[in-house]
Amino acid sequence: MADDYRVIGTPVIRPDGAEMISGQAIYAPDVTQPGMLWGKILRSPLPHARVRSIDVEKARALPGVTVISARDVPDRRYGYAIEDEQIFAVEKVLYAGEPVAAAAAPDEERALEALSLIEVEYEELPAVFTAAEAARDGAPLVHEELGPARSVYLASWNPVHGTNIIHQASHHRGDVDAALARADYVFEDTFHASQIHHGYMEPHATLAAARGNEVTVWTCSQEVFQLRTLLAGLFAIPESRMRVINTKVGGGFGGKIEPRLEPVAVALSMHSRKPVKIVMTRAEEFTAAAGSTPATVRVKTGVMKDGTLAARDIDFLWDTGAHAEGLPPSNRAMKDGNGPYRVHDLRISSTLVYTNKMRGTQLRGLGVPEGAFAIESQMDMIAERLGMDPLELRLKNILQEGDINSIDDVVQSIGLQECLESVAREIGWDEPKPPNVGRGLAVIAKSPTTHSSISSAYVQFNEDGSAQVLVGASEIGQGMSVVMCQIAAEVLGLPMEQVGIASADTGTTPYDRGTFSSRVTFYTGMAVKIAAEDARNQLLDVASRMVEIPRDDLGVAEEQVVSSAHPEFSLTFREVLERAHTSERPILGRGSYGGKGDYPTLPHKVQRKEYVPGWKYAAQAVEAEIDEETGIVRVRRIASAHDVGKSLNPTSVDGQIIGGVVMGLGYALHERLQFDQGRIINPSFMDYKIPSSQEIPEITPIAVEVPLPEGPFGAKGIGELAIVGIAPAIGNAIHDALGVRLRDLPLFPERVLDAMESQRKGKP
Amino acid sequence: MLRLPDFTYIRPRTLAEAAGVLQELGAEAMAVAGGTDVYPKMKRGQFTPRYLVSLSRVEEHRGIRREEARGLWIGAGETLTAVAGHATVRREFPALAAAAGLVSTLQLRNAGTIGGNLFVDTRCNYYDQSFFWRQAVGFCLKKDGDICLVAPKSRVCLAICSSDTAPVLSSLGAEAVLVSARGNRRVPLETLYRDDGIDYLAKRPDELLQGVWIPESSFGWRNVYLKLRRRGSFDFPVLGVAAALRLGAAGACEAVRIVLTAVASAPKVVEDAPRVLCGKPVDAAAIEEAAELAMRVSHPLDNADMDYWYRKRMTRVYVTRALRQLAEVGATTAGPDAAPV
Repeated sequence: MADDYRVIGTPVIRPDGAEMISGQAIYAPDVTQPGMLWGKILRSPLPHARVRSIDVEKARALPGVTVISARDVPDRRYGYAIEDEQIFAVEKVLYAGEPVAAAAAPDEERALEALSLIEVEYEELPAVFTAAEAARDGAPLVHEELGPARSVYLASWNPVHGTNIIHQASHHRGDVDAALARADYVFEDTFHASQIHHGYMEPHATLAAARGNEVTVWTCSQEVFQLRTLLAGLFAIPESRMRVINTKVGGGFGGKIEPRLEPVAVALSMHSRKPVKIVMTRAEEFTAAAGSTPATVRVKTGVMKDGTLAARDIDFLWDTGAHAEGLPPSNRAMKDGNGPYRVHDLRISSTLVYTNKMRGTQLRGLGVPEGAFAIESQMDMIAERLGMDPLELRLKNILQEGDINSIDDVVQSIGLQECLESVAREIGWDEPKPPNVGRGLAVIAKSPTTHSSISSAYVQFNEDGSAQVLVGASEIGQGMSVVMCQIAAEVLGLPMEQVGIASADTGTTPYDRGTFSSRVTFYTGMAVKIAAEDARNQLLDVASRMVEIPRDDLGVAEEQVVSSAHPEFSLTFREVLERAHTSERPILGRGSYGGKGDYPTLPHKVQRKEYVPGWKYAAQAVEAEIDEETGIVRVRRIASAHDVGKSLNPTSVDGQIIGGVVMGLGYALHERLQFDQGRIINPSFMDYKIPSSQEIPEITPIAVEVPLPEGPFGAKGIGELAIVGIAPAIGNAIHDALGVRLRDLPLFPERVLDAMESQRKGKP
Repeated sequence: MLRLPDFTYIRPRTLAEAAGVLQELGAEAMAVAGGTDVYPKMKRGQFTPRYLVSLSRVEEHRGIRREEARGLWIGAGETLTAVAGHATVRREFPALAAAAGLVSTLQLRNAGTIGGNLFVDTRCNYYDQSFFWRQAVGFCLKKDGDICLVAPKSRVCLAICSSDTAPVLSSLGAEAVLVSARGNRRVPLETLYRDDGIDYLAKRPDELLQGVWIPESSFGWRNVYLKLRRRGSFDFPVLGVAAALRLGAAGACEAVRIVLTAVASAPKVVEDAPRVLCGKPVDAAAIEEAAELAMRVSHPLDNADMDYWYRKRMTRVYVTRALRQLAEVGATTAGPDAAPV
């Protein structure tokens, strides 16, 4: 697309790349402070047990050691979705890995020695390990009473008291039963998505320093402001005395949104009056951090003979483990569960249950991968039955501009058809195939974040004419910093090297809701754009006073203030800023974006007051070869096309797509947290199998640009969707090659052989 | 990360000296070469030596050389990278080059030795875990406990042989040279393995492997190694098939050895393979029969990645493929890894 931007839309290598790949970047585990202690956490060995007693006296007798347990910390519950967690187990442990006590000592060995001296007496309780078991009447209760628990996430929180069901939600439009009765065909299938781990390279690490009456926390977080609010509330100190500073984050993927080590580190520092650092071992990451929130998804779809989707009834059962961090994905399934399809008569219900396992939380895609595996697998099953091409069936039913989507929004700025056609073309959809090679497609969509999604930014000019961007969003490796600098550089007429950025420090940067849900490019990007425009205007005001030319006749170009009305005149930024810093006032631009209905440029008639723009759409296609004798699936090629609105930095967009696709490949083929009686039996990168370079095929990222007027330069987010469609697309490719359908993830070779055997025996 | 516990590090200059130290210090000492298995296991409390006897200064267990009439000598201290890349190994024993080249990752092959891989500790889902995990679940027979968590009725440990190079060198009739304070001995490599997950080596703890001889008589055998695992890198075998055979001038099989790994605590020789393969051309019927036999003696358990029934069934598929390759294309270059690549 032709435009006359200087920086926007050009490939920019991130300036901190060299520092990262040469090992100089400071990640959370690298941070140190003088006089620092090392913290270690004693964790429950049992999945469900009453805590009879905790004796820390012997551990405390060690010199230089601080030991704390539940009685030493505030008796408050916390949690972003549901307040159902305390720093240490109080009466019961709810999963194997729950913190029971902690120690801080001058070195890790002594902290570990202290832990070994803590005596805990448990009385084991019957436990529940699957969502289906836990949802049954009479199942042992994970949380015996929700008591003072409350939801800070949902206005309409709907638990079933006296059961393990922590939340039930439903969305109903039209008359689904009647529409299903009228349909020519009805398909009903159940799919199961396994629990995966975020697999970030940098483990959780936190250094907390309680000094004087202030607490400073260095950590790796996707949401520093949420974290500050939570910590300040938990320890009953004003937010002005609680500072959260983000380090470089070595991957988040949703696993670094909610607090993990921070409450323990702060409590240890408050008790020892020394800085305390805790770094999770990889085993702790797999045992006690979190995984995705797995789901069993039953889909009932009514279809007409011509392939028109008539009705859908979708039922999700989510396993959130011991804490309800699975609430956001389970609740968003109301919006996203149907995928990018035009279906008027629609019912979606979602049930979230507790089990005695490590929690499930948000993970790249936020519940969309679980639903999309079901919907996109079933779309191919429908196509087969109708004798239709799966591409044609999708083209017939996907949302188009102006359609009404699942939540009654008018669809705007959608490039989905172009995405689908481009991946089909790229993968050679209609070309002949060698034996045992199959191709598969998936189309996917994700709704924008809701109205609590707000970002702000400052852009200030430095004395030499360069500029500084300050944002509260977290750089978690996705390349946010380079894109924010590009936006500011474009607006300010500066080259990239003249723009710097500081991010995610509650002591210095302005408020941002955080880095999640593909929201930063859109929200923070707009805040930066507005702040940069404000700074530019202030600069022009100063210049206007200096040269007595009206501001409206002035503009910026190549680090100079220029005027088309007065071509003979120019002032360097440095000259203007010298004036600003000596005899006027420094230039600080301010911008904020987001919130309820604050989108003045919305071009469409919006039906709902809480409309938020920015649905994300994508299509993915794979070609895979399946070994009939071993069931081993070798993916040969993947094409992934994303409706990005406007590709601000093509290098970052490609990186996000390729990274997401690789993660999707692991989710599809290799990865799952494997449990034995509630205990994870593959808690290491040896046994939890993320793809190695050997598994990664040729990947073609494609950016489709249908500008979203509300986004910065027309851009939308890109972070999540690339993970989503790979599993169903591979499942569809397996079916295309061998005629067998897998309904459970991962698509293990064992399961391919099993399915082939069932097919030979004539089972479904 | 997990912490490495304190230990005393001893660096003798000769194997005899090292063997002497091991004998003197007894059960509290352990030899270490590349350390790629020893150190992680110390961090997880699976190995708890007070003394580590490093072989890093020793020279006499190094070198790979062809000696006329004696065969090929491979020093136990050679890295897996060196073995996989050695010209004679690649030309004559592509199965060994493949097996060494498929161990773990490049970084670990650069540090890990062939001796370490030949004697690598047996593995099990219930044993290869952190101390915390094993303590929480209850310790198992192999370390600190008194029950097998895979098969509670079993009186022996069922941890599996996870060496890629042991089945290959066994199939090639290699002989091991062991050094100890009481003198040296040379024995067929396969006699050093026992089908017991704990006492999986038939040697004294103070006996050190100096190296292996692939005998002159094994030159000219066609050989191949196929490995099953989830990924094309990093992973230990959950099944490995080493096959070597000698074809006569008329195309009939004169001798054959098939050895499996990761289906028992020791490399598993398919004893009956020569009976069904020798004295005739290696045709489809013979291959099918041999593969069926191999599957029958393959007893994987539910203690590694990939379902045990699947690994058993794959024994037939992998043996079939190995024999087909040997029959059809002769001595292959690096055997293809069976995992998706």
